[in-house]
Amino acid sequence: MAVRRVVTYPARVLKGLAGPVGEIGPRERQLAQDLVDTMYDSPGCVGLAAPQLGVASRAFALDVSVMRKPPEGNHGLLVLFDPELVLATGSELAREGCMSVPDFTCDVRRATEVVVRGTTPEGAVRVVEAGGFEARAVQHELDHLDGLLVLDRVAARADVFPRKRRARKGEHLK
Amino acid sequence: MHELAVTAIGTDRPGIVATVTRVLHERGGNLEDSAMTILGGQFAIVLLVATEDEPDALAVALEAATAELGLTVSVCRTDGTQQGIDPTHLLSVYGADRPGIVAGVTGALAAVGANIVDLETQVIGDDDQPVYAMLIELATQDETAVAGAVASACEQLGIDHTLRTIDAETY
Repeated sequence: MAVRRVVTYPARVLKGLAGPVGEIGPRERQLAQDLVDTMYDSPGCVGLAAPQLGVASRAFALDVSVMRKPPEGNHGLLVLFDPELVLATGSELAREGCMSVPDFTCDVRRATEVVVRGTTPEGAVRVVEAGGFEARAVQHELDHLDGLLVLDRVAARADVFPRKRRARKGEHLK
Repeated sequence: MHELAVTAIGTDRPGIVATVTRVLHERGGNLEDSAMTILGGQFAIVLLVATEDEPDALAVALEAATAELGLTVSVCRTDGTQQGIDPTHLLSVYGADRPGIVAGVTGALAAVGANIVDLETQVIGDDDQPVYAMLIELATQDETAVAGAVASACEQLGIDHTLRTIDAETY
């Protein structure tokens, strides 16, 4: 169990292109475990990408089943290395927050159905069809691997900076 | 009828908008456009009103009605002819909080003739590592010039940015 500190912007690792992982070894499995441990240790967190732990590698952990109202048909814990977006359809605007941009939310347009393919910590290829909020979370984590934050995805001025009190710590992800 | 521009700002409390707009309504004015919001602890009103009132007369009436609210009011005539314009692009700018971000970026926009339609700023992030975020809706005919000017200004300021056409799909 290793809970690590979540890196926040303006750390440069969040704005760079994360490198491919390739073969999965003990180091990669440790990174996977750290992602999972840190994600579960952070209240309200449903996903975490390696750059958010300061590691410029293409990997993320995700689990939307921990939400107060878990989305139907979700896959529970997903950990993928070198994930690739195979398919993205639909379009929906919804509120997002990010552990690495604390106390801030904005509306982001995302695909509603995605297919993502990656390598599991066990070294197997896994293809996941995700919909709704889980699809949104996948796209959010994939963005982290390309150095994109929600601030780069803001859909329109009117959708950002809602004039309300900041979300409390740990409640950034709805 | 002509058009007057009214601004009013004061410490936020309930009743500011109600009082200001009641005066406009009672004097036969018609609210054309407005922006009203809280900035810090201040409530700010900027509006255009079509009215028969002269600027001084309306200012006196507003000051009398809002004396208890402690608003600072100004009224001036506009030429009333210019139409609003639609933004073509959304520019998102963010970086470690430092002086000169707004001046630097908007200076670059002005230099290439881009017209700012809407601009909002906010300091976000942790207290020990504040992040300045600015969203600008702008109108331009020359995306290439704007992209270049903004990129070089942001590089100089050491901040990040994204320029997108408005309503563009983002994946």
